[in-house]
Amino acid sequence: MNYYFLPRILGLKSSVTITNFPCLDKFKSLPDPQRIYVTWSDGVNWQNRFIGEIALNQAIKIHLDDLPEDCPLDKTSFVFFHYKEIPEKTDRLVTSDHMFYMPTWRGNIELYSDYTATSYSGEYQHEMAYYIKKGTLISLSPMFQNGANIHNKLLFVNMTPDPTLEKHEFITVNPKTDDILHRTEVCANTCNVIDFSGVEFPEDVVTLSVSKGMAGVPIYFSHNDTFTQMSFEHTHPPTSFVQYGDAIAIQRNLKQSWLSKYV
Amino acid sequence: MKKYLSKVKLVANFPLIQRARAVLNLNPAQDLKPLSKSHIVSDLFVFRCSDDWSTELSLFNFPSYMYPDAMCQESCLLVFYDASGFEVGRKSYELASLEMKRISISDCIPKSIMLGSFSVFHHSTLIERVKKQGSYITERGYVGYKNNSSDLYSYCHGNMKALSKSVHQNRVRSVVGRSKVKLRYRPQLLISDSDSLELIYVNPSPSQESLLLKFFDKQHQIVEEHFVEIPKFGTYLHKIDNSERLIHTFENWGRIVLWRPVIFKYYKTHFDVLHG
Repeated sequence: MNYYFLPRILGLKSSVTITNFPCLDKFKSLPDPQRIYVTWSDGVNWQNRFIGEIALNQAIKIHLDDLPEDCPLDKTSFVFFHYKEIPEKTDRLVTSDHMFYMPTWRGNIELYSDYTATSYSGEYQHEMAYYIKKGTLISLSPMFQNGANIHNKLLFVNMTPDPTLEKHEFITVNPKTDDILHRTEVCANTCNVIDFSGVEFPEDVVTLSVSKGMAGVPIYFSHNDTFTQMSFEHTHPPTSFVQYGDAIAIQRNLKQSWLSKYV
Repeated sequence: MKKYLSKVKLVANFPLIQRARAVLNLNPAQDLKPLSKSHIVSDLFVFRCSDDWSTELSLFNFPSYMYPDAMCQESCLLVFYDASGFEVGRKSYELASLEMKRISISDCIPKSIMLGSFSVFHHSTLIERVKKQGSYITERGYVGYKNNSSDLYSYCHGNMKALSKSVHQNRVRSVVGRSKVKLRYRPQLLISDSDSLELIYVNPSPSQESLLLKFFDKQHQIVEEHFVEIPKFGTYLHKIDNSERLIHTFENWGRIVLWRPVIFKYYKTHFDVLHG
């Protein structure tokens, strides 16, 4: 089972598209229909609200504005679907492996203005939320852009079974000079929007973003002043720099090298 | 039992066994292990270059981030194909440890070529360290697209491990997984929110492949079908006029196991690029 998050960014709207069909036929379909929920952490419990159903072969777009009125504006709303009835309040995140497929069961997460839209196909995997109790992040990105009219943000999404809203340090560095370009705090169980206004990015090296206390999905968002042009894409985890063999050992070496340097 | 299953998985992923699985249609792999351990793997990325479009690769020495103690420089070979699948150029770049270069694809290919694909092969001494883990260095890329009304690049990463090349040989080989029968791929998204869009498919397989596209309305009824043959290493662009917003979803059928398109959706002032 996967979760799809709805970012909150001033001046923009967001939506997620969920589908009740797998991408390949070798995966079995889910019972029809599935029940759609929105969930958020209030710091003590996970609040779950039933918001509709999705039939077999259906694709539905859920807008931030469509959510129930009691979804708080200062918390991140995550959409998921499940075949069971789920209580309105749970002390642990509702998890299930009934959608475990490779490639993963994706959704489309979109940011849009009155003029244009940008999206990426992704998800927050159940396995990532369930098994990574205290993770770390190293994200190498060439996607920050310099320019008079260009603004850069990093969306860093985290989910854990425990409804904690614990905070962790998050830094972005120039790995060649070790200069710290940006330092901030990020919150667990949240789609954190980190604003890099005023930061000039190096052109001859990627940026390296580090979180020692929290794993998550980093997505890079660039836009102009008026949101008439936008770009939105995530970075791969370091395991994808290689394929086959012991990619985890290679990632471990990479993480140890850089985490020990900056955190 | 767990030990037994992991051994079965290991054997099933031996390079020759993977190829036999494809021939026998026994759960064909999405991508194939290169036949030699000295190979480097790359996605096959789409480029668009014209008066209207530019494409930029953010090429960085990512192997040096895996082993920063080695301070390793590398040589990167870019191989370009036109839409018909003909190789139209190769270009090499030297990168210092941790270095990044922004490569404008229009500087690397003849001016007359507006659509095609390219791969990136990283060569350095770090291949030996990666080999010891039983792995292959793999370029998954970050490619930026800009049209003539843009101030910024819109990024999309690669979506298919496609080709491999040995350091010692010129030949580029396909490592994409294929099935004996046609398989369906259904992108998990909606395409009904823009007036026009383009689907771009590359064919990294070692032979011509047929592609069947099916488009559906909101009730999941077929609205349109389209059939095309894409040559080996070729690129195909399919334009869709959806001004009546009739088409909601689509699927593609072909022998490539995970045949994902790059999608360009057009809005009032800009475009969105994503992998399906």
